[in-house]
Amino acid sequence: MLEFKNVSFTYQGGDSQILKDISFSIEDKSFVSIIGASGTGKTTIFRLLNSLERPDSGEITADGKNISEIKGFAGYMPQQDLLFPWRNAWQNVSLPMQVKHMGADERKERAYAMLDKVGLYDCAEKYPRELSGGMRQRVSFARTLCTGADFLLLDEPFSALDSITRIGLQEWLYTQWKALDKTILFITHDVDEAVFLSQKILVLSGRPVDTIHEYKVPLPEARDISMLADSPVEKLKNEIISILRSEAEI
Amino acid sequence: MNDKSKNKFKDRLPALILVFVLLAAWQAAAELIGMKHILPAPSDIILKIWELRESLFLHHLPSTLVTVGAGWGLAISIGVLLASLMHFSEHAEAMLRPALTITQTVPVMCISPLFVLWLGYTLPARLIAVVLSTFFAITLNTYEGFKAADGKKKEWLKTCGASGREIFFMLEVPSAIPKFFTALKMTLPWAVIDAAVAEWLGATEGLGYLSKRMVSRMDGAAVFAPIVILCAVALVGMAVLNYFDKKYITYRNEV
Repeated sequence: MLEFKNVSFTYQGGDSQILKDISFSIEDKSFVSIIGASGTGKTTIFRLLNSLERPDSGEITADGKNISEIKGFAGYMPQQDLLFPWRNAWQNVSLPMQVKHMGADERKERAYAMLDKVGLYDCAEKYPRELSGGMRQRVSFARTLCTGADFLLLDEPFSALDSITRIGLQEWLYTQWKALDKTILFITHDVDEAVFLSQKILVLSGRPVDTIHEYKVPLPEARDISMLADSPVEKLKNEIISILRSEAEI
Repeated sequence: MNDKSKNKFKDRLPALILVFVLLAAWQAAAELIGMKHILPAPSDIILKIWELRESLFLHHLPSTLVTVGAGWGLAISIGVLLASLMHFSEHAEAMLRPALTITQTVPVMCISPLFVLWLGYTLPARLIAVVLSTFFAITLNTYEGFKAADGKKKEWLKTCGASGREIFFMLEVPSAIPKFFTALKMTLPWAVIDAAVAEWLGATEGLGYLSKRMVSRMDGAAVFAPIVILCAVALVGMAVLNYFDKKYITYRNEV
């Protein structure tokens, strides 16, 4: 289990605090979304989880151990795909394995297998510019999986895509999560997206963030987009939207 | 001729027409003036190249190519080394940048005789001139290329556990290649020109030297003949670089 315990954080050189004494936990193998108004500190939470930043106070632990002591604790999928344009799809996917000094043949074999898993085996030799936005995100997801981490951080991965591609990828990601046995922490601005994908939603509140509202999503494991119109789900969405509205007015 | 070749030819047609018109005007002017030792016609120069072919292509051209190749190669090595040093060390950057800028204010043509005084009519004396005129652009472009690496990609690599060395070779070097290539394309003609200048000022062989010797003989066509070969060397070199740029640096606008 991942735990944030009374974490506070201010960027070095910045004068305003971002996180103030926040605590929450994430169960293993769950899909949890973080939602909040722009600039509240969602990405900061990811930066802390990636050990790119250190908390001013408090502790972040995974199964009781400080995450800064765990090498390769999380696999990170950024907002933009950040694929390397001089590498083709399989070479991009193999990057985390190259960092781990895995042999070239094994890397290639695993990258192809991973691309097969995300339905892009035939695009393995293609360069990012030859792929559509949705395909690029799937390559980026495959690359994140190749970090070998059990904990995946997905930072608004579908925000730049058109709505049709986005819905398709949401369904695809949900199926992937069920098949992969991984814990996913997902940042989004989109309430529908958060509700459809997650078991639990964390809504950030306050500036600095000092409160986290936790909501359990009233949807079964086997779900589809049409269920977002169900009445308990509608109620949850309205509740989240009202918090986000009040935050935006701050 | 397929469509692609036809289009290429169409694109180049205006330039070809201009060259043809200029050559025709030159030919006409030379015929009109009738003083070949001062203004030889293009046809005279071609005839002279044929006449001097053995000396030009078997003796002087190889010598110039050695000066260009060795001097430019040395400049590339020094440029990449200095750019890497500046990239990894802020102190080195602060120390080297002003010194590098100063080297660019020195007119190579004026200082080259000094190298001849120090080293005689030798290859090293000519190499210094070529290196001095080209290494700065290579250093600066390569350094800027390293700096152009996407900070977000760098952070992403860090989250994978990549070391500084791995980030350098996996991200910063490939990011710098387009600018490095731009520097190569900029500096190759300079290398050819400065090799010829260095040969003019102090050498016993090379196209620059031959051109100078022909001036004293008042043989205008023979002065131009090595210059035409020098231009051809620079153009062929540029064409090769352009070919590699188009074929392999396909991500220039995506870094």
